[in-house]
Amino acid sequence: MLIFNLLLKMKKINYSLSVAAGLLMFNTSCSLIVEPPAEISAEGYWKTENDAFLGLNACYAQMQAMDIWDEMTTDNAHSHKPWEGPYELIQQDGISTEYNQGYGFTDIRIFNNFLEKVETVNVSDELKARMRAEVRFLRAFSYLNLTSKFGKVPLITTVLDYNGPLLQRDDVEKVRSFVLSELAEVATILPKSYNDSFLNEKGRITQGAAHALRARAALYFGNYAEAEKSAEAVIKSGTYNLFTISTLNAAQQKEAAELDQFIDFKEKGIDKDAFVKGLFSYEALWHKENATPSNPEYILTREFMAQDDNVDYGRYIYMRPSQLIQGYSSYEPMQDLINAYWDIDGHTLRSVDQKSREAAFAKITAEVDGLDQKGYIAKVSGMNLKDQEYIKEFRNRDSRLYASIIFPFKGWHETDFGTFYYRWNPKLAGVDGNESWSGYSYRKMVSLTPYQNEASVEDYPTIRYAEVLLTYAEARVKNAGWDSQAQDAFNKLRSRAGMPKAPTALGQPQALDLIRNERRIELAGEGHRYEDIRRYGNDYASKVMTGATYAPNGYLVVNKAWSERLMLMPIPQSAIDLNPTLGQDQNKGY
Amino acid sequence: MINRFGLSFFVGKNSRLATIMMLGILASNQVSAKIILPFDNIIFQQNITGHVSANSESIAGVTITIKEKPTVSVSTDSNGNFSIPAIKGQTLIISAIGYTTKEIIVDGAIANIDLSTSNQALEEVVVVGYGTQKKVNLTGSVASLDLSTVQNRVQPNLASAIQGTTPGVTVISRPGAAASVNIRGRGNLGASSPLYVIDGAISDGTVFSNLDPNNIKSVSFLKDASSSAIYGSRAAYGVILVTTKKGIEGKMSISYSGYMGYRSPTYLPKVVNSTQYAELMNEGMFNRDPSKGMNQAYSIEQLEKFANGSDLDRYPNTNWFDLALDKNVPTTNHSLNFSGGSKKVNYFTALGFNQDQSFTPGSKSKKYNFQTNLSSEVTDWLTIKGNVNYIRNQGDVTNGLPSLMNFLIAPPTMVAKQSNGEWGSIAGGQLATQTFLNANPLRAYSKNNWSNSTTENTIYNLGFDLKPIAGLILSGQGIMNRYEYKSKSYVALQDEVKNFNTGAAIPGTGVYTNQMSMDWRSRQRMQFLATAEYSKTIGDHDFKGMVGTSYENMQYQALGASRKNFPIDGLNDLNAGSIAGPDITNNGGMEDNKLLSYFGRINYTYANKYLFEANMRADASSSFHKDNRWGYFPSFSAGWRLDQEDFLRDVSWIQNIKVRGSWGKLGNINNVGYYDYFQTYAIFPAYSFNDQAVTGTKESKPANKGLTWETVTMSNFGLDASFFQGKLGITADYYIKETNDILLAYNTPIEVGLEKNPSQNIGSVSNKGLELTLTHDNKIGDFKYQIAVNMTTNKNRITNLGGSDNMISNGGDKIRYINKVGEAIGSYYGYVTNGLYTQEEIDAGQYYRFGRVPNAGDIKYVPQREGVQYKEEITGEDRAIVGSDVPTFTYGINLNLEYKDFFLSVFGQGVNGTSVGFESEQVWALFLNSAPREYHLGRWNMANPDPAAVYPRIYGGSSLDNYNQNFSDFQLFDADYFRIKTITFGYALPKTFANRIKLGGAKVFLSGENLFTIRQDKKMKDFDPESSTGRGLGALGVKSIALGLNVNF
Repeated sequence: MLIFNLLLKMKKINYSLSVAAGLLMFNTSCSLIVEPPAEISAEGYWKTENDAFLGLNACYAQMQAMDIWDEMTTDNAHSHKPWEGPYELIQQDGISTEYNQGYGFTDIRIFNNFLEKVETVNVSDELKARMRAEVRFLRAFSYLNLTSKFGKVPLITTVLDYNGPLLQRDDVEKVRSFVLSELAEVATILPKSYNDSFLNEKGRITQGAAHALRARAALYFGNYAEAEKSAEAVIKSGTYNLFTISTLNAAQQKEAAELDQFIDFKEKGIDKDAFVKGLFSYEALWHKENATPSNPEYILTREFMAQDDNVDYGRYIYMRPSQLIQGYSSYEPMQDLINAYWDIDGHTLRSVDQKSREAAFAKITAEVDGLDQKGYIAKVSGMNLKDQEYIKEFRNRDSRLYASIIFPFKGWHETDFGTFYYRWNPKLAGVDGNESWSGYSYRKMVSLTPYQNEASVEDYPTIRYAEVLLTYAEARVKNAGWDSQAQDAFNKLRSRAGMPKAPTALGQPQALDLIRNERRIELAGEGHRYEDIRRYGNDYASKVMTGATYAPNGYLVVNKAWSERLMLMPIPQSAIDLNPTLGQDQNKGY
Repeated sequence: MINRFGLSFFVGKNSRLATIMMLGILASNQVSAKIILPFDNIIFQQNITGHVSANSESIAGVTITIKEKPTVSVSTDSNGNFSIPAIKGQTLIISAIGYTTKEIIVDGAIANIDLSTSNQALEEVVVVGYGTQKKVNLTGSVASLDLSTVQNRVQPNLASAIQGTTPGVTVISRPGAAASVNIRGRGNLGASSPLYVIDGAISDGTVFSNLDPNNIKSVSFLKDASSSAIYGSRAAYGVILVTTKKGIEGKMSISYSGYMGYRSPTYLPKVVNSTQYAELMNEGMFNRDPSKGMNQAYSIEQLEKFANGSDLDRYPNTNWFDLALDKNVPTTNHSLNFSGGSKKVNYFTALGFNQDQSFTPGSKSKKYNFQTNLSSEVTDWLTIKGNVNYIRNQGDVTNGLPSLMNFLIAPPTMVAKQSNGEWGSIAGGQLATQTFLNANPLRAYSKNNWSNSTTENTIYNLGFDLKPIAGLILSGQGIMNRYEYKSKSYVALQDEVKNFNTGAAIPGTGVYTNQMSMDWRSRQRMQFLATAEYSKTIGDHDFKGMVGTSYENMQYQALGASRKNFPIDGLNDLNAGSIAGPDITNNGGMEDNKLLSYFGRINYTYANKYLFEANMRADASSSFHKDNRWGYFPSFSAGWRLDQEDFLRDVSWIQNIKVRGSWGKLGNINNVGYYDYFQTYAIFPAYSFNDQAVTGTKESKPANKGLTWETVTMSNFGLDASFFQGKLGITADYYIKETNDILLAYNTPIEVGLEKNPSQNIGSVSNKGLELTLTHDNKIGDFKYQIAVNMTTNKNRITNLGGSDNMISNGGDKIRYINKVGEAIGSYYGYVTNGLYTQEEIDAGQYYRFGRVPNAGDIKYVPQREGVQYKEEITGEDRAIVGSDVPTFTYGINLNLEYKDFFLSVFGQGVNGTSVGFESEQVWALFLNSAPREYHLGRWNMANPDPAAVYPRIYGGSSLDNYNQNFSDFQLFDADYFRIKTITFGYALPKTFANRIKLGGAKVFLSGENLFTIRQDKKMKDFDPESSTGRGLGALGVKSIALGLNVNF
């Protein structure tokens, strides 16, 4: 018994000890090493050509596409959805520091990081310099946008420590000269075009883009000599042309036939073929197969494709009216912009009294009241629109009006849902969230190539040749007056639009007025109006940004108000909270 | 020889028993074999039979030992009966957990023993980290849950059920959100959730919430450093220990409990009727453009049609909540368990089922709980244990489901279905907007969408106890904790809405692309645990020591896929979808984390009077760079049982007085990312060239190789006392909790350009609080009652932010919080207001500009800077702390009444000092197309130009409203409340009668949840005071009433 017990005891002790020791050893021997499974370790990165390619792609992802949002803070357009941004607040001089109108530096950091890190990559110096030039271009672009909005901004060209000293804003002049000198320098490095091989993809930033952006920047800065010089470099390069079409498709032909309701071609001495092709050339330059870097008018292209991560919602659901599938009408052009489209003579402006417009609109609306959509299409397509009082306002106008704006009763046959006549319901202004409240919707830039019924896959011309021509004309007038060079550039746009040439004898102020209005028309919806009304000066801005804008039924779209503080946007409180020194250097009036 | 052998064996056996007793291992495990050895004198032996009861209830599992022959030990069966071979004159020791041990001398063949007079509190055993401890010997602050407060409740969520039961444990049970548990205040600026340990397995709040209360033996809340330091780097915010039930030796006992009842919303938004809606719309447009008069949106004739209901197709009055919400949905719960055991093997097996429906029809959730706990004494020195705990949550939706927000967006001016049977298409006489058409909740139900998801949590727990020598127990445990989530959902095609006026389909209102998505996520936590425990008593000196080690490896994987464009609806497999490039998506996810730990504890007790304890844990985590990997977490505590001193021993009204104190250091690893110390580049789909996608890489969050634990240093002073034979019980704790090295996303200026701010160990927060529980038990004739009151105050202060002061964070689109030195976490940071402007003030120029110039009826923002002149701009400097969303005082009251066979229990819970912030649809009339509510009828307007109106002038959701939407105290609503969380009335079958019909016991009860609420808010009124800050209406609060039944066989 005793022996048995002792044995038992020993057995259980041995057993227990070995189990305990085993467990202890097992645990101690376990490794604590883990590796990040989905990210690349920084050590050993930035060595190969492919590393640089991937880093560069991240920089391209920051490139600006459509810029319509700024437009809605001006007299061109409106958004009735306050939750989408403080657009109407700005139009009404109601912006406060609670809103951020684009004060951000994440893209700048990505650019600076690339510029720093690409140095260690094993590629030729030439390629390295070119890749750096592409990114320096993007950085200069971001700084142009920043200084346009906020004036003084901190100029950052290195990757900052997160706990480094708080930065002050740098002088406007310093930022501006940085933008101009960088763009001048990269223009000497970047190639005119790419051969479309790996790392030389066609859509990359070119020398032309650098000159063109520099021309834009210099114009915004009021540096007309440099603006002319850079714009001229683009023009003289011979690389770019305004986009034109030579034949019309069936839908376009159908609309062309209907245009007789709107244009008295004979009486006005207008070449119908040129006018119609002008209209559709202007419209089609954003569409379908034309929307690629190969388009001769595209100087800088933001590329999109049929893939969730890289599509453009703005040009599809947000821009379309609710009558076109899925439309939100979040961005709507206003009467002020309609008023800016030339008479078909190309130099006079129309004005219709609001009360008469309301009366005329009520009359024509009564004629289609109660019709269903089919009945409406049947009715409108057979209607004698020509003699309708309301339609008179839209008769014999600049071809770009028809390509840019859908106004009530106008037909558009090339939509992705076929024939469409715009039927604006005045009773929904101020009530219905997805109906335009201004009476108008965009047609220009609205994508015809949907992705999953909600987004656009069409590439977007971030900089197009038309802008360069306008920049050149304006700068040239400032520098040398309304001479033949200015007129040549200007008339290229008229010729494409199928519109008459500009008058030849104009004084400098008249020529400037002409160009400014042409610019407003040609570039409508592309975001330039924000900078333009400011660089034309406080008086100009104050004039155009004061007073009420109404819809055709008299609904108050917005009661515009201006004060000088709006020349710049406030440094947002969210930035001041993180960098209190900015609070001592707030823009005036905030 | 024989004697010596026998003696030594007895001593070993005895001390082992004693050890177990002292450790207080659960009663079920405590029952040991009765070993009759051949040298026992069988001749004199006779069988004594008896019955053990307390409060006239039979008690199962009571241990009866013969004092003179400690090896002889039996336990009572489920009816409280026992039989033991004893001889006259011997003494029986009758001991059971929760009762004072009794001794009786055998003087006959039958012994009936009543244990009722004992004071439960004194013998109560609580589970502590890696062991158990007698409550009287605790030196740390450990609260154990009285499980009777959570059983019999119509609350399938355990975390919600413990709300208010335990001082120092704050449960926030927001409608729709998982209940969050916080022990002793928020110590950091991220998550402050406790560590959950279920039968030794590291688990999480979700599993805890889904446990079946009927399967739980005990829940302990380790609140101070001394009790939780043994869990080291994850114990900073306390530990919740759950022990599930074990089988008890004896014949099988079957127990059923269940309820069936109804659930309904606590509060529903009170939306306006269509006439009021139209009037408010008119008023908004008038306020924006007075020149066009009062009827810009709706004419007088239209308003009349809304009011008289003469054209319900075009001018209806729809209340979507009444129409499309199930306000009474059934709830059911069944729980069945089998337990029992032989001498060597015991078992506990439980099945549970719970089913709830959502208020939005077609959506159901089910919960299954399967559990089995087995334990087998293979030899007298080896016990093997195996537990499996499986919880399955299942969500099924058989149709399209509108978000609750859609009930606020669909306007009262639209019908759900037109009189021709088509879906509503007209709102207020006009073709309704797409937003409204698509928001129609009834139409959403008609979709052929479906989805189902299952979440499975399984804990496999295998272990053994080795007892090689007296007093020493070696335990090993291997635990696999698996979480698996699978979901599959389908969006079906849907026809377009037809225009009621024309019959034409309305473009954009259909669903044109169908899509199926599948999602799979899996997390497994492998855990190996070994402990050695030794205890020894020498005279008045009791020693106990424990050392252990554990290793954990957590691995997470995810996979998601979807396809679009199925040829027809009604197919169930992903393979049926289109394989065209843009129609297919897939995604993954992966994480890996490891933790190695060593820990130990020493207890020393002198003469049951002076108690000491020391703990130590060392943790190494893979989340840290190898140079900073190890963390050390010590704690010390001491207690003094005054009642054991001679000068108090004979004071008859004092049963127990103990003072205790503790100090220790804990860690918090929860806010550290698994890979934060690596500097990496993130890979993302960046761009495309020539319609070919290209990948991009960009710098991730800056690495911090020096990252380390957040450390919590906590001191605790406590008092436990019991007076007047248990009529008054007091537990009080005061704690000082300092959290240092708090990981903060450093306040990085926007100019630096980081997308994610780097984490730094820079912050410090202090929490000081008082926790008090008072209990009163009494009996007057047949009437018994028990009152327990608990309350907690916590004062939270940020003491250091490492130079990164004033950290402002978003609590929504506009709602802001601030972390500021000297202030509490959870402070709202916004503008200060003082009512609304009057026309006189505006006319007199006595206003401040804020973006725009205010109008009469707009909110009056008050500058916080000195010397701001009228007409000057309100700026960010004018913000201040305007409230807090963390209560400063929480309390609970528990009342139990019994009269004969009837019982009533009421449990109430309340919070003080907190407010809730709302924005968007929840508070702004007509903003984002939302329907206004009765709250908005109290607005300022020309007819009611009250500067103290509850809502400012309305502008119809236009940008003029933006002025009034700057986050201010105007958007805060008092969230203080006192709520009767549960009230239960029941009847228990008399014991004798139950036994006669072969039942161990039976009771029926009627129970209600959240039936009564007293609230502070007098402003908005139609929200649940437990709602979370933000846009609101993500979910509704729930009240319920159910009939329940408990039966034991």
